[in-house]
Amino acid sequence: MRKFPHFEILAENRLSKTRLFFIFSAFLLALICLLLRLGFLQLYKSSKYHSLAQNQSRAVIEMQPARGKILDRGGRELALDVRLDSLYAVSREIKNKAAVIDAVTRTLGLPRELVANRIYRDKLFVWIARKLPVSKSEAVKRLKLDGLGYVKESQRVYPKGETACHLVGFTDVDNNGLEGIELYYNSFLKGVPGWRLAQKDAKQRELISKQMEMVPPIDGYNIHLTIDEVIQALTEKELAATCKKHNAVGGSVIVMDPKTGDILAMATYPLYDLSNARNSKAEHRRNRAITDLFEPGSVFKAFTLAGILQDKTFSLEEKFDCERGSWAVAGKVLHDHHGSGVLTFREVIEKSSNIGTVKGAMRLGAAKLYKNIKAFGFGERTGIGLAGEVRGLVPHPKNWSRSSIINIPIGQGVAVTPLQLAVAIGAIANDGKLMKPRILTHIDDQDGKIIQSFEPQVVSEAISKETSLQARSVLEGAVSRGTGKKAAVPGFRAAGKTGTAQKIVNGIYSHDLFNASFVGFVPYDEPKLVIVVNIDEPHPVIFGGEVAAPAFSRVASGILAYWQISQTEVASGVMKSTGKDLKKKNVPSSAPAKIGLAAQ
Amino acid sequence: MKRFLAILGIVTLGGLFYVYEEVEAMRIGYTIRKQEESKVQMLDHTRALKYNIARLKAPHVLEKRLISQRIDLQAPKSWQTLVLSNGAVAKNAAASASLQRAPFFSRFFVGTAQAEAKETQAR
Repeated sequence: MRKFPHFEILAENRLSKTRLFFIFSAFLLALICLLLRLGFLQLYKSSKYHSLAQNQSRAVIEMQPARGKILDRGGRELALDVRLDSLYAVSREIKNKAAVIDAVTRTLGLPRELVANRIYRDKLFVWIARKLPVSKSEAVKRLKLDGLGYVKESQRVYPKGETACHLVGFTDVDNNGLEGIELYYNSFLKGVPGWRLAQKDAKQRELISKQMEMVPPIDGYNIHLTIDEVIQALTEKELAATCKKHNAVGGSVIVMDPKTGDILAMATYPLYDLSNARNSKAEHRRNRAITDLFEPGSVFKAFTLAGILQDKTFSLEEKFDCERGSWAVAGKVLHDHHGSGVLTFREVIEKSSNIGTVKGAMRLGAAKLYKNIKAFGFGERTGIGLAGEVRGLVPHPKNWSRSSIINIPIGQGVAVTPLQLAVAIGAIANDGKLMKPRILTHIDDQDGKIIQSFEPQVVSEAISKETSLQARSVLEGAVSRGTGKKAAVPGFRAAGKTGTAQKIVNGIYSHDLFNASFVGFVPYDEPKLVIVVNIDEPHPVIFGGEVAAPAFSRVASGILAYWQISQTEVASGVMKSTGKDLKKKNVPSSAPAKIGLAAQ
Repeated sequence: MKRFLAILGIVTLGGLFYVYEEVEAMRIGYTIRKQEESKVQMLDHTRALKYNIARLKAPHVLEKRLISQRIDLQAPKSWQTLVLSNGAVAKNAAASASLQRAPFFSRFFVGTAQAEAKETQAR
């Protein structure tokens, strides 16, 4: 039988075409499916996958601002930031957890339980230790352990240790202020964090060329204080020595410039180390100069005196019978430490006679006495700008008891802070002008641009200039001839008033617990320094003239030597009269009429 | 056809240039990142050094060191001090006046600032 190859080829071609058709159709179908899937993904699921992709490749990186510095009036750093490594773990990435725990525990010296507890947490991120010292972080880095990472964090450091600790304060682990200036000016110091949206590569490294958006951080502002580091250190040293010598539980010393109200030093004892503040006792962290109220005792006589002189109730030469140290009045018996007979009012203050002062105050009257006390700012916050300042206590005459006129002129029945005393005695030293105490000179940014400036501010004229000069002369006598002899500053003429006040325990005056204080200024003719010393519960010696006055003398001497000021330079052409001349003329060396205060 | 090939060539070259640019940008980005890290490290180091300087200058630290080394510093007397004004000894300064006439007995025991200056030069 004859065959026809032509037909066979034709049949095979037909079969191939059919096959090709099916193959092509299958591919076309697959392509259509893919296109449909693509369309589905692009149109309906695009947002979901877009965000997934972005999450993998993009990151918002927070940019921490640098916390502002705290500097003294000479620009010396009291608080600043350093950046330290904080160690974290990504637990899921750690294969041999036991080995990592051992290594970290050994290197950092942390409790094994703590490290294990953190590493066994099934979390992406867990802190192991924050703000490690450089040596420790380097040691951990050398171990090259998997699953551990480092983040740089700011650590607040205080290079001066204990110096000005109560004033500067400290921060928590997140750099938020907890005490002192760190707390009160936290909003200025903290700064504003920034952020940037960045693209990351497969190794999670940031691609700078693909940076998308950035809001830069604003660094915190620098705070410039009025205190002087050297004066502060000197004051703290003398205060600590005084408290230790007299077995006191605490104390405070304020050094102020009477012309501007600048606080040059504000020392409180006991001190604590700012670098280790968390381990200090809460009571040691209290800034006694602004938070502690106490009955001022005899130092308050300086303001009673000023009130009497301002009112011109009588002259300084008016004589008072001091009843030989014991006087029954208003149902009470008033005592003087040293009994005296008839004294002029100048001598009454110089010798700190309670009886003479009360007799003088009675002639002034309750209303005028109260008005005068308020004029010196007692019973009100000074507005210094520090956390925890208290108002004090000055009762209104309508609330006075029968004995108030006996108590208040000698500093009982009122409660004041050491800062209020400094401001008030500053008014006497500053021709009667009551200055607002200034703790900040200015706030500036990292480029030195001033953000806020704090100028010296006169609050009011508490007393006239004439009254001020008279009061100053009496207070100079209290140092040169009276109870404050130990406050004398070699080479200078100082003025001031001592005070020894009984403390109130369970509502009654204690016979064992006292506050010894001294308020004064130097040089008396052109005051450069106002110093208030307050020593809490000294024993066995309790008197302000014995405990606080020598501290005043040493602090003043130290500061004047540091400033290289001498009495001759300050008073050249001002004080022509020497003590000898004055003695010849039989007038008090400090009589205001005899002294030409030309410089004022 | 030629036109098509030309356009294809230009597009290809443009694409290659774009890719090169992107790769170069990445490379520079990595370099910048490394340098920034190094800069941050140096700034951190500077901060740490500043802290150390401030700590070492703290009055209580200096005082402790002076005590431990038994160095007893005292403020100089006025006649031991030269007051300089514009690079010269101030004529009217009390210190320079007193320099001319040091306390009589002190000359024998302490010497004047001038004598000390001569001694220093001799060395």
